[in-house]
Amino acid sequence: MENLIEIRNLSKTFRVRRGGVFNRSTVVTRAVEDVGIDIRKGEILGCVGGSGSGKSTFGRMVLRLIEPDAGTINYGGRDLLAYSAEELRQHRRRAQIVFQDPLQSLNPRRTVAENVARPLLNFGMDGRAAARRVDELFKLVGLDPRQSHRYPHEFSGGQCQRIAIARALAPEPEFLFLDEPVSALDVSIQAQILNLLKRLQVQLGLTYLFVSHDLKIVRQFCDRTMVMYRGKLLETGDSAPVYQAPLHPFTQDFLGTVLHARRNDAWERAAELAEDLEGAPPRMDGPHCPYAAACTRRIDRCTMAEPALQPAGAGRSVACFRHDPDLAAPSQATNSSPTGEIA
Amino acid sequence: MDSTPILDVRGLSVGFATIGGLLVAVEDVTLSVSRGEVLAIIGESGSGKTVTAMSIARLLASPPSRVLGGSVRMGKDEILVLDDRAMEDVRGRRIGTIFQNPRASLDPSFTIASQLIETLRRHDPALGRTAAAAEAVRMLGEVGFPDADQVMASYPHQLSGGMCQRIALAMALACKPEVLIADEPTTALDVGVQARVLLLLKRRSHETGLPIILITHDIGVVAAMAGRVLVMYGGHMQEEAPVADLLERPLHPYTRALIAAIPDPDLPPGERSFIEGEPPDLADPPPGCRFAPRCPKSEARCETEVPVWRQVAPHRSVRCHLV
Repeated sequence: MENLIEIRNLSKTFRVRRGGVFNRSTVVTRAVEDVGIDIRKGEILGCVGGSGSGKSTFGRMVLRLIEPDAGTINYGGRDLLAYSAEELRQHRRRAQIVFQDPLQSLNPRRTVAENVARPLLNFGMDGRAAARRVDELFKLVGLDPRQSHRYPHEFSGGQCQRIAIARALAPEPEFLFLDEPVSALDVSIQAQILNLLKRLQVQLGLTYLFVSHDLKIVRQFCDRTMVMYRGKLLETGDSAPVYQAPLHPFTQDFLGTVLHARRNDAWERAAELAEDLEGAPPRMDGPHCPYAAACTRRIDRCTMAEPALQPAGAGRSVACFRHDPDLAAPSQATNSSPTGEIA
Repeated sequence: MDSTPILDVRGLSVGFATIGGLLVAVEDVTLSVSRGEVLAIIGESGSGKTVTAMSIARLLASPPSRVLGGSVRMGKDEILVLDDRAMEDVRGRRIGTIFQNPRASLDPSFTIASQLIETLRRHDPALGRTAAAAEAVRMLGEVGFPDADQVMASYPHQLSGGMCQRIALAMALACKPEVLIADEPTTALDVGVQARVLLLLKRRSHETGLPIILITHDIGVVAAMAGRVLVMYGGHMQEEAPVADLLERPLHPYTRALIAAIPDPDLPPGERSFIEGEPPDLADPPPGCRFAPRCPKSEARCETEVPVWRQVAPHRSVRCHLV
């Protein structure tokens, strides 16, 4: 399959100023570090991870809503990071976004028709043509065009998300970044919106990057999955095998804490090991695997070098020494060879 | 298990004054919990699950809310008739509560230590400061902070949501309540931290016999935690059953739809089954069954006649004309 977007070594560091007048300090947060992946034309790529894993920052960089510090984004054969301001503005037709909270992402002072028409008017369409297009878009997302003169607060959360989707589709994009698009919705409404998104993707031949913390939904909805942890990409592959037989210990532990509708007590064991991803990362000196401190399957070299993302067969990749026994030893001289067993 | 209910709610109805008139948010809810039991109340926005819980602890401002009928009994006491002073003793000491946003239950301008110590000493005025501090450290250990000193010295904003929720839980448990109401306690947390907080709750209930009313919209949380489940929709109880029965043989079409809407990891990806439409507007509720407008099996009488709540098997009740 042809690649729509090729991302290499993408990184972003945020500097957050902490403290008051006398004890001001700057905390450096590596939100995304050295992430590379291809987004294929016509696929739904899921991006999962806990709070602070960098999944949302990653998606926003792919749209250039956040400027990367390093790395390249090749979009349809061109370097997205080299675009001028005007080129980038024109690029916005091709790549759009749907946010988590639909009510917050719509302008409350404008009717929903004006909200949906805004991108069309911004790209120079005349008012009458835009109005016709708004009617089409309303029908496309399953809303009654006769309600388009109402304001966002008159609609339910699910309807607002349909409106936000209509607005994203207005300039006929080929790529949508869906940033937790159903997380704020009730379960019965989530399924409606996901089915709508799936139908639109097939009907319009769209490519999606779908960010979510809900692994059950990503497994069901996405063709491929990328797993992030504290800014690093740890594992990628087709969704079904990633969920059925995860390779990276973090993915295994993360999946273990998902609560299913079938009763079984396996989650309790996983719960005891679960790491608080919002908490500060465990301190560890020198190069090491980002998950080394929390990993129960750690071997010696995990604390001496950082594993790179390596092919693991069947279109999968994983950044874990246990899956790559042949990987060269850490570059700095170490007297002790790895002693742990290789899985 | 001792089956004498510790908390016994009968026929509870709660309304709110609105400019359009009285909105009945919860109608005729009956539930009870006994020692060591976890009762889950599951429902979507507007189902009445939170109003039920808040009314039990009498945490809703009145007016605009008003209890329209029913009783909430603990032992020989009727909670709904207590005056505000007596109610202060009930909250915390007899009915503990934790909520979705843990930061909202903590005071941002005091350290965790001072909040925990104040709570402990308020509930046991004989306790000295040093003894209270030692007890606070012990309690933090119980909710998974092996090294509590740093946490004690922190302010809520310095801690993660999961840490704050565990502290809120420690604080609720510090008062040794007879029953704990947990309203979406893990909805705002990451899956891993959610599992940790839930495990703490489950173990606590198991070890000390603390009954828990757990309010959630997540079937996964229900399956992991509950002994019994009450399904609410549109302000009405729709189905009650032991958790295994409910998950394996749901009777009410709404319960079935709710379970079917959860992605099943063992099924190939594809379209998820889903319920059309939106939950009812309680300012103008459907005249018959609250679920009838969305129910795939709805018949003529479902549209006009509210089904009665009736027992259909031991420990199983349902509100549906078709069962």
